[in-house]
Amino acid sequence: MAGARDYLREAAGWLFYVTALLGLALLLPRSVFDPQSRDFLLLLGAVGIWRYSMGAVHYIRGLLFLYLVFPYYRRKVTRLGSIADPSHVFLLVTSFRIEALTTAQVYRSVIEEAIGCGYPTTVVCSIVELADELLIKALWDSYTPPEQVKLSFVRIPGTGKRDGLAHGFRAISRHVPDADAVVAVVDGDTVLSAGLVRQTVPWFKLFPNVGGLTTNEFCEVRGSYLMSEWHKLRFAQRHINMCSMALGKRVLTMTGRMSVFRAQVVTDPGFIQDVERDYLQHWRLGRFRFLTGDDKSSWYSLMRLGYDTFYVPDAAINTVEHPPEKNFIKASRKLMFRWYGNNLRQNSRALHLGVRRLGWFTSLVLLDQRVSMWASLLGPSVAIIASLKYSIAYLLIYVLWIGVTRLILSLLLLASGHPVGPAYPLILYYNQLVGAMVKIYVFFRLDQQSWTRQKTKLDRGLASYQRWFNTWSSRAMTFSAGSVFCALLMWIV
Amino acid sequence: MNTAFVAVDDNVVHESEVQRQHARLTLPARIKFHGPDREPFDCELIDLSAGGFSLSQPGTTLIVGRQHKGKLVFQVDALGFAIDVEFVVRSINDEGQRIGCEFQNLRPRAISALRYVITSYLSGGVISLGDMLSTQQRDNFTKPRKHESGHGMGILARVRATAVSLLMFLVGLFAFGYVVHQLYGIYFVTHAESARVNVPGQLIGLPRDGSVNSLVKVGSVVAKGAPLATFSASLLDVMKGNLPPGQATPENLERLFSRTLQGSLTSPCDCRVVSQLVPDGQVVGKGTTVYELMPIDGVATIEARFPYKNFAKIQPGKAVSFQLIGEEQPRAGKITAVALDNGGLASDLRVTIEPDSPLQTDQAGRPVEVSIEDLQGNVWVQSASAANAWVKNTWANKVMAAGK
Repeated sequence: MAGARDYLREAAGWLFYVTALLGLALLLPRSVFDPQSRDFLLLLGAVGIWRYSMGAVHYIRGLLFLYLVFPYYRRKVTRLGSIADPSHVFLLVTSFRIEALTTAQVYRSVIEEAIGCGYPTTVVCSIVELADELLIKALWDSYTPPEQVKLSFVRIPGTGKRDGLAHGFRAISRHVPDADAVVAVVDGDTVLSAGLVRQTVPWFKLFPNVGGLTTNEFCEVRGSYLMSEWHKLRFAQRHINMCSMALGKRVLTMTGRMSVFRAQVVTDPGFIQDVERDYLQHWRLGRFRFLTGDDKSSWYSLMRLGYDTFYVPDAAINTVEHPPEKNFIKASRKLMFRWYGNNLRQNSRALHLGVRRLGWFTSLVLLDQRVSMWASLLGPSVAIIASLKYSIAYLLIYVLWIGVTRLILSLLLLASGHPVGPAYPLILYYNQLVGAMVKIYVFFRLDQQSWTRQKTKLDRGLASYQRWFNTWSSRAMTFSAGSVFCALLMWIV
Repeated sequence: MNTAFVAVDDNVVHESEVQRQHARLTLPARIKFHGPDREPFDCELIDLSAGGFSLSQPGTTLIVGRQHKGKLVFQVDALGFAIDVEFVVRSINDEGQRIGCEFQNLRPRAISALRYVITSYLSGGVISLGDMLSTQQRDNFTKPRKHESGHGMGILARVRATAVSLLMFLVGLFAFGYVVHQLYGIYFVTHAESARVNVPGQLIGLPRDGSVNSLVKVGSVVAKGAPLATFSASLLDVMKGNLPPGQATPENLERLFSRTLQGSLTSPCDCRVVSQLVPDGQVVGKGTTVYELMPIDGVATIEARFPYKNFAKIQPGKAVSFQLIGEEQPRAGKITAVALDNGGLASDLRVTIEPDSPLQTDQAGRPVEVSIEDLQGNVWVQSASAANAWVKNTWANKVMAAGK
């Protein structure tokens, strides 16, 4: 009964969306295409082709990987059988200021997984509070694990996840793992589904050069309908993108939620150094340390050390998302600020690794990430300028175009196997617009980073001139970039 | 416990809301220290926590607020294990039945020993000497790792960053100015739909059916009375209709047909030939315009077409600016007359503009871009923008558009 009601509500949503589009089409004047300047149509077309072809390439690559290449690999791995077993599995879990219920759920799943996978396993808990330690010990005792499963604690001051990871990695180093050992890094709010270790671990034998891999992700959002749809949409898009990048074994992020690495990688002092105290040297902002984005740091380290990265689409984790704010707009803005910040901070130096290391497609994707925000804003800006200069009809055409294309894009996401709701087209466009603006804002403020959950900010203790200069120049750069963008468009349109 | 009661009564507070900072545990331990008058104390603890302890000493000489040094002694595996502590007497209740003391300046080693004892007690573990010793031997407290959170830049890098930022800022300012100018143009400037230079001219027509043979070149100046062209007409055409009815025999017609009549067209004024509308030698009908002439002393005006909705902005006497195609500097003028196009009601406004500085008559017919500024005093924007090449380009584009 509840299922039927949900379906009806979804169907009503879709109908409403399509009706709105048709109404818009009726509103259009009969003879709209009479542009006085044709240059901008050419530009719009060129940018459109670039954007949509980029999306199409990702989509096709993703589906190719998901439905053809991956099943082939999967059969190969199954055929390997017990040869692919690792010598030892480490499950490193980092927890800090996570509510006791979630912590209990997470560790229960981790301990069950450690016992269930059948490999020699050590659960390494990188934690801060004594209460967590007591809780985990109690859970551990209640399971009475077999001989080959061990528990190890690392207690550190709560100075952040990067420190937690680094200390955990050092603790694993002290166990002196051999070349066949693997380390799964699990976040303190990620519940592992049963059999995850068995699904992910054998790949390291199949692909000797893969240093790390990451998994599919489903989320449960503790927030409004819009918030939860927004998260689900992001995960669906992420899935396709990851699949596309996995085709060339260049998955661009080693999710902090759940990634698996070779023990060799994790015990490399250079890798630990990168995770613990990564920094960026910027021509304008000086040198600053990374606070967030350990997933991007680990990806960069893997690339620099010469490893490949991989994505396992049929292994999934479940996470509980707590939006940082009640308000959807505020929350999404905050999250995008964090994600895009991490992304762009990593981007420039990743490009410096060179085409030969990354491959053509990956370099293109990285380059695209740097400039795509301007292309995303191009459409609406041109529509607004044209509506100011010529006729309001341009804005209407644009809105109709967006409505139709986003509808198609949402339906295409169905192929990822993630659910698709009627709010998706709107959220897609919201993401494009607000995302682009946040990206531009962040692009000129790479030194500003903050956690959404823990309000930690970096106090760089800089001299007053430098601080003043950084603030001023960031604003000046944003202003200049925005002005030049508008001026160029006004000139062309 | 009656939960319903808890819910109703506001005075009942759930325990967890007002917890002690440290749990007090009843542990077998003793404290040894010297009192205010150097008298030795050695007594059992009532309870112990990570923050302090309490003891019982009826008729005590201890003073609240006084600091003492002493040894906290635990019995571990039949061995006495002493920890050096400093403490302050915080409270004396019931005349020494319960004296509360708070630890002061605990050293790391004492903290880890206390923590070990309390943790094992809480979790129900057994305290063993080996564990106690290993707890004491371990370096349980490490300093936080020194993280460099980034630093500023050297002089050279700073100068470079400042210079490049300033440069970009200037570029941004320039672009911003351009955007403002464009917006100003959209909202505060009224543009004519089309306009051209107009000089009241003379049209010279052909008096007969026939062909012309031009004697002047387009663009040249001819004096009043000077010949412009010769024309030849077939005699038959001249005589047509004038022939007596009996004369219209085929032989006569054939004779007339082969005869031509020559004549010449003369200039009615001191004029410039603007255009020749009929090519030499082409036979055209009577009254066809052959030449367009422009008096040399004629006054050139601008004739512009505005949409009717701009009615309010177009008033005679209003200053306008206009730009001729091929010219870089805009010129200024005044509206002298406004009329309806062709006098019809379904038409645009035809506006005549008199330039402030006279125009050359040879510019007649050239396309012009006319704009009316709604806000006066913004002329500087125009003059400033006219100075840079980028803007010139757009002007050219616009004039072309106007020309279309």
